[in-house]
Amino acid sequence: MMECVIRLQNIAKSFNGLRVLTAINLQVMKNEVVAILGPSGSGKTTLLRIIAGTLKHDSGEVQVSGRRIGYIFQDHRLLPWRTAQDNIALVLKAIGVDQRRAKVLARQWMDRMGLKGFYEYYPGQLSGGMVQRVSIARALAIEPEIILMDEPFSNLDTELVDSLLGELRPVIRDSHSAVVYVTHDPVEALGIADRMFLLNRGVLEEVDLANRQALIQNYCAGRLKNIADREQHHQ
Amino acid sequence: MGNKQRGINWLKWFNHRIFFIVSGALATVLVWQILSMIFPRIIIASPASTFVALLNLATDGSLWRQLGYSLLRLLIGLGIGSMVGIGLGVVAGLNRRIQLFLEPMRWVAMTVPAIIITVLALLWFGIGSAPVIFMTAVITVPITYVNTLEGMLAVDARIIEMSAVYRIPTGMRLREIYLPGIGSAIMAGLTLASGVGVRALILAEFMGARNGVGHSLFIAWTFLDTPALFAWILVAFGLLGLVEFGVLRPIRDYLTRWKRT
Repeated sequence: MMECVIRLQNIAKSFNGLRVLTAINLQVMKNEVVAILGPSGSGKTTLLRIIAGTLKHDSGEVQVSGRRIGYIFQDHRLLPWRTAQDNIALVLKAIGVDQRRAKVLARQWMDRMGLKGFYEYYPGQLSGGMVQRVSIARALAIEPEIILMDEPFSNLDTELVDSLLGELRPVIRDSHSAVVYVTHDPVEALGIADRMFLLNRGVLEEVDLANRQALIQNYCAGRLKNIADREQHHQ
Repeated sequence: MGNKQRGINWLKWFNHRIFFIVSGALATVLVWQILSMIFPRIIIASPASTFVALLNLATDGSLWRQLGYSLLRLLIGLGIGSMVGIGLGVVAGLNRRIQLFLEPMRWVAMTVPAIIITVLALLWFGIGSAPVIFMTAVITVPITYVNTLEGMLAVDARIIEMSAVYRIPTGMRLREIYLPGIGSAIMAGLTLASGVGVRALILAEFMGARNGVGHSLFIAWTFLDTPALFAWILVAFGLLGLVEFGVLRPIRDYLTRWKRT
């Protein structure tokens, strides 16, 4: 039987009277990737922060059995005054790994993420894609039970996103973590998820992933129709 | 061809920032020279007589001895004051209640005139190094406190959230996130404090020490030796320059080396 790592029951959250999450119910198993899809401002990041424990929810119950959480932020949140290697070593030291071993592990993870030789570079010296690879390496290096990904590739171009997703998928599978991947891009979500949810008006609705091809076709057709409708409306 | 190259070099030199600094210094000396020609030499010593007095002080060794006393007192006072100010600033930055508790003391420390602290220091410690160091430290505390606190409050909340997610312990958070994050603010505070500290030090030495640059100023003033008085004023400027360029700037450059990458 699969082990449930994240369990959310009837989670609600409001900001200054504006209800963002109404009744969120979600279970994420070990070794499972769940994608949450929704437009900007729909409450995706709020949901991740509640799971991470950095934001208090108003009501409902959160059960998180994992102690180690790897969080890949939309903005990398690396320390600008520390080298790429030291940024990864820092979170390793925080879980009790000694300094020397932390540096060795940091280098190994950087190698694995295609960053061999960039150990002593500061974040400001690396490109957007490289910085996000460091951020991913930092999250994975602690061998997390839970990985939370908050639109990690939203600032990168499509080609780079596809390449990173391709590299990331096997690494995530190997980690056996419970993964929550938040995005506004359905193709990204379909590319990585075992299960997918739409966050709509504060509630999660599961999407049937039986036919991914059809979903992508419908999504593309929907977007093209939207553009055409807007154009007509503008004229 | 050679002339053309020389012309271009002159243009470069004119646009260089050092040109403006040297021009400013020369203009100051010029104004000083004009004033010394207008007023009697007992009121304003000329630049030439001041430099002769300075040369005499340097050759008989008294300049280096007195400068050494003052520099040591300044560094000890700045060191103690900044340790207290930075320590309190860090604690207040982490805890809003402590910040509010310290607010009245900060206000008193920042508004009390230097002369009052000097008089009290002389009353409590008598004449010597102790009141001078005390005075410099007391002047340094609120300045470094305010700058450190501002730096702490300005540390990126997103980085703090990251450290919470990765459960980075408080000690490591202070060392790895807060201190590097507030390095620039602390150095700005120390630079400001060293300027105010030199003024406080000279005042305290003038009133209550048996040696040092301030005491030498007092002796020159007592004997109406105006060229020596002006020479010691130049030494006081040099004291601040020594601390700023010899101590603070290398530390600041080290702390902010990541910004130049």
